[in-house]
Amino acid sequence: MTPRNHVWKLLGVASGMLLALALGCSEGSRKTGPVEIAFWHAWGGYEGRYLDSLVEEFNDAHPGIRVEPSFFNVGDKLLAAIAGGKPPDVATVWDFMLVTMGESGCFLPLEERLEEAGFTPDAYLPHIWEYGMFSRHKWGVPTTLNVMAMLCNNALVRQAGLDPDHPPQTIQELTDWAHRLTVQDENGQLQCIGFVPIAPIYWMWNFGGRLYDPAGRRFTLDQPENVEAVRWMAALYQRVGIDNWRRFSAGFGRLDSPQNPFYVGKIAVREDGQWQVQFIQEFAPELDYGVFPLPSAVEGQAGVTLVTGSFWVIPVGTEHPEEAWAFLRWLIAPEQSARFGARLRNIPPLRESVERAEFQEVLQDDKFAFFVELIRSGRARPMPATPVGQQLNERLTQGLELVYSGKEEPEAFLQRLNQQMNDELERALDFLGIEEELSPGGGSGGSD
Amino acid sequence: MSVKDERKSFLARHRAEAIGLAFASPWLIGLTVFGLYPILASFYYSLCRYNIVRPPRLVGLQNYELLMQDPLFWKSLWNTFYLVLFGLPLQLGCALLCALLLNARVKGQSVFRTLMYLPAVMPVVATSILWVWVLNPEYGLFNTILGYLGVRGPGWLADPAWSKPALILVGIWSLGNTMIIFLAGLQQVPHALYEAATVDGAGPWHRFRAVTIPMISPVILFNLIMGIIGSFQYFTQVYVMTATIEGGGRGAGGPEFSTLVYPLYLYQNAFVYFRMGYASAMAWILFVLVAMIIIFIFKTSGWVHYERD
Repeated sequence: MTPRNHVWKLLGVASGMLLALALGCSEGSRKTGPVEIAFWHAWGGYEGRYLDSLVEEFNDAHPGIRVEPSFFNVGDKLLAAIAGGKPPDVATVWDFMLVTMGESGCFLPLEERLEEAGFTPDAYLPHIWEYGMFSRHKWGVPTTLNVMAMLCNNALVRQAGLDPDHPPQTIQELTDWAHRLTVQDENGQLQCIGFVPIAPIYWMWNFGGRLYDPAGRRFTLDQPENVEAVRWMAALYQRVGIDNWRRFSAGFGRLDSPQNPFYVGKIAVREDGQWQVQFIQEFAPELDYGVFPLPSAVEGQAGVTLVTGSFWVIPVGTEHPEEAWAFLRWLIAPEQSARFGARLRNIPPLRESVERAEFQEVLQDDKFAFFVELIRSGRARPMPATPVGQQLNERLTQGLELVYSGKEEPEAFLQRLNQQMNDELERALDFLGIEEELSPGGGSGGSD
Repeated sequence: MSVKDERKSFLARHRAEAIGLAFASPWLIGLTVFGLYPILASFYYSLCRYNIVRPPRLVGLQNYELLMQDPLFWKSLWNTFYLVLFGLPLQLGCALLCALLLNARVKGQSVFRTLMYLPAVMPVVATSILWVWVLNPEYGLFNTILGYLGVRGPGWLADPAWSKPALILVGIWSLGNTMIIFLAGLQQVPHALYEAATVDGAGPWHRFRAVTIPMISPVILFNLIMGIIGSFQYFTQVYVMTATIEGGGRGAGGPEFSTLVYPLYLYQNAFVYFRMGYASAMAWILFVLVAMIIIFIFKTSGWVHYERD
């Protein structure tokens, strides 16, 4: 054999390998047996193991379908999988991604399927049906809900000569607590922060402001109430000094560890979610703490709070939409939803789930029950659903840093941001071709 | 060339070229499909509104117009320029200094060389997380040491005035690759030149100025250009070090957008806000900018001394 023949042989082998690779990619052969459903979820640890065990139950009861759960980092990976035409059949997305991705055509609309299966608007807890709804489509179903309230460290409160049994009910009282609970050493270095607000949204609500007007499809960030709220937030930071606060908070331990600054007494009062009831049991069982509703600045109006969460979606491009829906429908049914919520100490979105025995068990805990009651009584609202929710989130939180450090005035900041977000929204609506029709809850009470 | 030869097939006549091309084809195909096509496509997308899922819609120069009005675009451009203007010269200087030290014939030379190069082989994400702790204003190594000296250290990454210097500091720590190229350059300098200079009465500084610098000037040029490209693409460290606990790239770039470098803002537009057209326009602006700077450097590279055989 001449060397030349060798060359051609080598090339033959190489091209053969390339061909095999190409065939492998296109998955030429089709397997028989149960339909496989790829299920990407966002729960690790014991939560993930519990979800996996639910999936096993489903698989055992449905021999025709085999759901394969896997944990994934919710983010651009899902977008890439959908764009590439090989998406999972059921996946989890964060609430602020739902509308942007849904209205872009990433997910199958679920409103008809939900209605057929009896998941009607009033089957859900107050404000939850509108959650994540921008147009008339429902692009996803809430997984479980989280809700925010105020937590206070009772020992620190008593030390400061305050009464933990009479927590602040007005913004004025909260401000007073914040000042009296803050401890600085002789050099001005923070030892303990009384209270600083974290997320702007519910404080704006509690000053009587609205972020968004769904009827007009416009942001209303520059309302005077919102400006007032931001002014108040900035004042709390400026009182301790933004530089002091940044140094101090850079030393905080992980929130899901015993070093959580609230557990170790570095923060006396803090907004946090109902999951803390479980976290504190696990990481700081000795901690004596109390829970109370967010105070309101509006006279005669009880404080409202924010409900957050994630959504189950069925991505466009799935080869088995029917089986995916069969699984999802089982997973969101009152029983499974109640069990999942109870195990995670999250709140199931359906009224019926909350009433079920599986969930009533965890309601024995007064503090947890307090959080659940916030949603049940309609005092918890979701973020306004818009296709630019993610931008709003980031621009608002990051932009506020400039306000806190005094580099921008609250009013100027909110006016600029409002203009910018409305321009963004307009372009997004135009690009996505969303018809001029409003979501069912849009025109009426859903004004957030 | 005989008639017979001409009748041979095209392939037979260009046998060597064909084989060469065939062997190069995996790379050629890779370059075209995964390199050239996406690059050209991104130019088209920069003229569109595009979010990956929906088909792109042509909007002309709208993305570029919006960028000009976007304060965060200018802020991120400035942040990146800051790193190039202040970080890069410092990094090159330190790398050269280290290379000179490591070039000295001392005992344990190879140990020093290994130690100095070590940071460059460590995974960037791991070292970035480590640096977050070293720079922690309350408990970090730096501020603890400064505290012993009676100085209250700055807030580093938590302080908008110090966050970029902190990033530069981290960059200097991992200058191994630049240093190793300098070191190779230094070893190329013929010893005879130093001897001749010494005979002519040149001291160490003069030898460095008149012999070393001109002789390694091509290496300096190379490192300068690679450094500029690297600085403009600077992303991973800042993404890791400034992201908030929620992760997912959200919140990265703070405080007060002081570490929002250009590639980070580009990434956020593309993969957090799904504004692919906008991000593509940013990529092209960056490309043109870097190309212009590099061309300028080449045009003014009269100071580079090439040895001729």
